[in-house]
Formats: sequence, C-alpha cells, structure tokens
Amino acid sequence: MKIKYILTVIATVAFTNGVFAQYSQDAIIFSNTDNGSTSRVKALGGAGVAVGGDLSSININPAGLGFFTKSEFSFTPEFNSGKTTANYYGTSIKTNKSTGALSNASIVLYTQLATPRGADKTKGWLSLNFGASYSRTSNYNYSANIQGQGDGSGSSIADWYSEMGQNSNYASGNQPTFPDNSLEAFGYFQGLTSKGSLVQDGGGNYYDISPTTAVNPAQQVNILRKGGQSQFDLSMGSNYSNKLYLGFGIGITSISYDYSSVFSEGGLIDDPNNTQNPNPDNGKAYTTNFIASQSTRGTGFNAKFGAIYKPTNAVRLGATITTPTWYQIDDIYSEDVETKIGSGQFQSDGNTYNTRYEIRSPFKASAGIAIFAGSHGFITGDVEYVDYASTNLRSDEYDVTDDNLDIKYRYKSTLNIRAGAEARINSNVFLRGGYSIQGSPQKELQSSVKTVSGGIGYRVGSYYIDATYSQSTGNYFYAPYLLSNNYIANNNVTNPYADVKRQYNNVFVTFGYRF
Amino acid sequence: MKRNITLGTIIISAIALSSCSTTKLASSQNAGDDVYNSVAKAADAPVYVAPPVYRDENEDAAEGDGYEDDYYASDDDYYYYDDYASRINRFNYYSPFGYYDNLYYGYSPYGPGLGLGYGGYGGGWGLNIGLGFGYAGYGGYGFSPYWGSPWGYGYGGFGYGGLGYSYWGTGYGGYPYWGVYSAYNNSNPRPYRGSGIPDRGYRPGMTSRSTMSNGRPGMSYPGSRVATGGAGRRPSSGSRTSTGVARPQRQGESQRPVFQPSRPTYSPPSNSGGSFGGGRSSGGGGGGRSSGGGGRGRN
Repeated sequence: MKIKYILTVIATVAFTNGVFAQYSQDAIIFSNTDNGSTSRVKALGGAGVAVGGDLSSININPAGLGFFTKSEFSFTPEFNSGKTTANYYGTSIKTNKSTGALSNASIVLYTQLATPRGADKTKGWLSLNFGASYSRTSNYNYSANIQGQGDGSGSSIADWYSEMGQNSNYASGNQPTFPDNSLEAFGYFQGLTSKGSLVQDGGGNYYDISPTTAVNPAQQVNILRKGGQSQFDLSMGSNYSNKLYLGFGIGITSISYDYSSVFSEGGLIDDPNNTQNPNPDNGKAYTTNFIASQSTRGTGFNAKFGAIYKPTNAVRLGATITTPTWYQIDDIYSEDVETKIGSGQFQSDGNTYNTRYEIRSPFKASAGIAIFAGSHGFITGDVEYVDYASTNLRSDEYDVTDDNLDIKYRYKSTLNIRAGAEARINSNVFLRGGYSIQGSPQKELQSSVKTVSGGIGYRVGSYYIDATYSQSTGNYFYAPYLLSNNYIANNNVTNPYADVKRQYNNVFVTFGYRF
Repeated sequence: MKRNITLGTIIISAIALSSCSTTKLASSQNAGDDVYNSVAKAADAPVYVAPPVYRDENEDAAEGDGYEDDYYASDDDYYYYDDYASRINRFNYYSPFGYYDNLYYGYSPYGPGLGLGYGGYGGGWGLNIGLGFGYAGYGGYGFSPYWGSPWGYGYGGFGYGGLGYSYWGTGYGGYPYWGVYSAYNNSNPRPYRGSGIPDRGYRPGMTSRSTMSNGRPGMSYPGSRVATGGAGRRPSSGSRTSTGVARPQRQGESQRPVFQPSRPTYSPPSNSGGSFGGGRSSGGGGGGRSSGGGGRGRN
C-alpha cells in the first residue's frame, strides 16, 4: 500500500536524472530546448510565432523577419537564480545557485527588393531580410542537496547492487563472478552484498545475492549540474505585399553539460544471510559513497521554415516547422564506489565510460496567432507540438537498442503553450505579461514547467531597452537508484524518491539599436 | 570569471548605448518599431545602361578605317570592361537586389550572404557557417560574381566555412576529438541499467537476467580474488551500537538450505595495480572528468 501510494504520487510529477543517468534520459534532456528570444518575447511568455518584427523572429519564426523595415541589432544578458527544494524522507533542504550568461545577441539586416519603376511599391516581393543570432536555449545549471532517513523502512543502495548482482552473476567455482568493473562487483567485493544459495539455472548456475545492510540508512545526495545549450541561427525572411511573410533558417547548436553527484549512505551492517556462519561485519557501522560524474559535449544542426499571414491588419497567423536537430555527442561518465566498514579503510573502485553517439531530436511544429488593437497593443499565443517518443539515438560505438526502446515506451508527445500580451502605453513605453506551460515528455508522469513573466520596454529614437522578469517552476522526482517492482515486492523495501521542486527566477535585459 | 566578463560587457555596452542616446533624446525622434504597422516598400528596379554602340561615324568610308561597324554593339562587355555596369551586366542581367545603383551610392551597404561549409574530413562533421556580410564598399571587386545571388559564399565573418575549423574555436571541426575529449580512445559505453524511470511495465521484452550490456565474457574476478584472510582486514570497531534496526526478513531466505561460508571479503589488490585500477586511468586524462574528479569528497 505504501508502494502504491508512492507510485500515485509520482504519477503527478516528472522524473529527473538519477545518479546513474542513461543515454536515453540525456537524449531527452538535450532535445528539450527553448526558443532563443529577446526580453520582449520572453515577457510574452515566449510567444512569438505570429508576432514578427522582433529580433526573436530569427530563432522562433524566420518569416517574422519580413516585417523589418530597418536593420536592427540587440543583445540580451540574463541573470538566473535557481532555487531547489528537496524533500527526502521528510527532510526538506533548500539549495541556491545563481548564474549569469549571454542569453541572446541578434542582428537583422534589412534588404529592400526592387520592382519595376512605376509599379505599386507595396505589392510583390518587397524585402528579403537576413538575420543572425546567438541564443542560449537551455540552462542546465542547478544544484541540489538531498538528505533523509527512512523511518523503519526504505532501502539501501546495497539493494541496488544486490539486484544487479543477482541478475548478472554466474557461479564460477564456489564464488559468483560479475561483469568487469560493474557496480554489483564493487558492491560485492566491498562487503555491501553477500552471496546466498547456488541457484541451478539451465544455462549456468548463479548465486543469490543479497544486501548486507540494514534497510533504513541515512542517505544524502549532493548534485551539481552545469552548462547549457546554445544555438547560432542564420535566417532570412521575405515580405510579399505586406500580407504574406515566408522565412527559412538554419541553426547550429552546441551542448555543454557537466554533472556530478555524490551519494553517501551510512548505517549498520546487518546481514541476515549465512545465519550458520554469520557475517563478521554484522553490527558494524558502514559508510558508502557512490560518486558519479559526467561530462558531455555535443553539436547539432537543424533547419526551420516559417510563414506568417495577415488576413487583416489586426490579425496575424503564424506557423513554423523545425526539423529534428541532429546532434553528435561525446560523453564521458565515471562512477566510483567507496565503502568503509567499521574502522577499516575506505575501499574504492571505479570505472570510466566514454562513448560517442548521435541524437535525432524530435521535429517541432508550432502555430500562433496575434491580434493587434491598432497601435495600442496586442495579444498573442502559440502552441508547439513535440513528439519526444520520436527521439532517436544512433551510435557506431555501442548498441542503442535498449535506449531507443526506453524512449519509445516511456516518452510521449507533448504540447507547449505560450501566451502573452503587450500594451503600448505611448510610442515610448510598453508593458508586457505572459505565461507558458512546457509539457512533460514522460509518459504518465504528468508534469509541466510553468513560467510567469512580466516586462517593461522603453524606446527612444533608434534605441530601446526591454527588461523582463520571469519565474519558472517545475516539480520532479529524483531517485539515487531504482529497484524493480519485483524486487521491491519480494524484499519489502521502497524506492528512494526525493521530491524536488526547482524554481528559477530570471532577469533578462535587452539593449537594442535600429539602423 | 565568466560572469565578470558578461557583467563588464553589459556595463560597457550600456554606457556606450546611453552615451549615444543622449543626443537622440533631444531630437525626440519617433520611436520605430516593426512589430506595429510595419509597411515595407519595394525599391525601384535599376534601369540598366543601354549597351553603348560605337559606330563608324563615317558610313561611307571604306572598311579598315579603324572602326569595325557594330563590333562593340554586339558585345556589351568588352569595350567597357572596367565599367561597373558592364561588370554587373556581364554576370547578372537582372538582380533583385538592385546592386547596380545601390552599391556605389551607399543605399545598401550590406551584401549579406549565407554560407554553409561542410568541414568534416575526419569522421565528425564540423558544420560551419560563414557569415558573408561582405561590406559592399570593398566587396564590389572580388566577390561580385556571386552577388546576384542571395547566397554568398560563406567567406569571412565567423570562421572559415570551407576549411573545417569550428567557429566556436574549440578545435578542429572535422577531427573527431575536441579539447575535452582528447582522452577519448575506444568507446566504453555506460552499462544499461534501465530507463531511469520507475518500472511501470511499459516496456515489453525486458528479461530479468541478461540486461547488462557489458557482456559476460572476460570476467576479471576469479575466485582467487576472495582472500581467505580477509577477515582480519577490518578490525572490529568499538563503536558498535544497538539500534534495534533489523533488516526485515527477506523472502526466500528460508529456501536456502545450503550452508554458506562467511561472506567473502574482497581484499583489494593493493589498489594500485590489478585489473581494477587499469580501467580508470585511461579516460581520466581529458578535462571531462574535472568536474567530478576534482571535487570528490567523502561526505
């Protein structure tokens, strides 16, 4: 019943990477990007598919470049303050991490097209404008401190080593042997698991492996994640009779992702195994650490097509299609297990894994509408469709079958919704507000990141400045390790879920110049 | 450090922009904004210079007087080779950009180009972009053959499109190994340990054993690893406290009638050699591990 309760709870949130991140999880994280934009569009909740005429068009909908009648340049620094609240076995801990970065820098060059002399100068292809921008599309920075202790129940990381060992060992002589440099081998040889009876199996015999630790140790995880994803875009947009706008762009992305986590557990050795020849460590205190670190770099490219149509002067309809991003990823991951039992020395074993693979992220389609009240303001909204289940890994270096099956069966398509409004107080001052919901890519683990934003803009002459504040909030579950349902049921343990609430407070300021 | 640079950039730029804007404030220009009421207008198409016709003025004179009748009229390029109109006409009889007029008279100082270079020659694709914002003032000469097309040749700007350098300067776009990956040699992927999402039974076809991708062969844990004298390695501590926490009885324990010796204790092979240590050093050379490797503390 307790398990059921926990499963019900996690059905309302998303799951975030555990300490043993899988490539499939990384692929989803890297596929989940935001549009680069200026402060103005950030204040509108990121809605910019139908608006046009803002430098964000380069990244969001290149057709919007067709609205430009002058050239324009802007850059946008950002400041992020991340707050993490982690709840684990009833203990709640807050962690803060602040970062600053260049959020966006954009330029559009207006190029007037020519029509024959004497023709109507507002008909036909009127301009073909080019834009280039750099933007940060993901912020991976966050830190969390999770600690707690199960009250009479819970589980130990030894359960995890034990389950993996049970599934992978085979008997050689009178000892189990494990895969090279595997965690289950580290756990076994460091005394966190022990062998039970020999099981006769058709293909080869193996040993029962069980944990030697008591079930409710004190546990703690420190997580530090750094990096981001950025995109460099080159786009062009054209204007047909001030009615129809078409655009095309290509983007080059760059991923930098560094992750480290230190899991620590302390408790007592209480090995019920070998009752006739008890474990000599029984009753001793132990400390074990699981240290994981990952460094991932990648580059990718994509292309984008967009259109905006103005049926009347007050209404703009926009649509974009973004191709999948094809990434090439280089990844180094290392893990170490350190255990100290009683007053002995720490034993330490570890291994480093590196590989390279490719990700094909899902294609994205979005549609938007903007309704203008003359020059007094507008409201706008976008819907974006992303099918995360179509994310695909490919590698010449390892077998991606398991990861691709996981993506197919555990992730889904989602809708991201963005909406905002701008009020033009006079020709100099603008007020804005917006809201967005970014859907969860995970199947049945329903969660979304909600962002509220507001901003103010000031324009004078050829200069403008826009400032935006936004706050985004998401709830996640985090597990340092995961046990299978079978194991949980057979051993009366629970999975170690931490409830993590992540909140980012962001400030963006855009400085712009028209020329 | 990074933040300081950003902050510095912001401050300097803000000062630069604000100092400029003071003069503009006085002029009280109307703020332009293409989001509202943007109305684009086309330019006039250039009227091309009629090909010069050099005729023999004296139609009656005999041939061989130095002029060949209609010779130049049939070749608009040759005679005016250095004439700009002639050069434009030679390559582009019609340009939607109207370079003919604008270029020299400064309407449109930019000849934007978009270039895509495929820089990979060593396996990886180092996709590069050359941003050909060729400045027309100079550009007129060297690049003019390409200017009729909106697609410039990605030359200049950021990075050399054709040469295979990554524009973000971290190394060779084409050569497979970038800075932090200099340690990369042979792929050694992480073992598969499930999806990382709680097992909800979505995924068919998983077996309870044999999910490890590391493979069974090549075990490096022979039975001899388990030292018989290992018990002495961990002297019993005096800190034994009774907590009353008992591990719940594990199901299936009663099914183990076979007497087992004490839990094998692993005595590490002095941790400096042996097959344990060997695997780790190879990957550690690169910067990739620095985040975790350096800050490895015991909590």
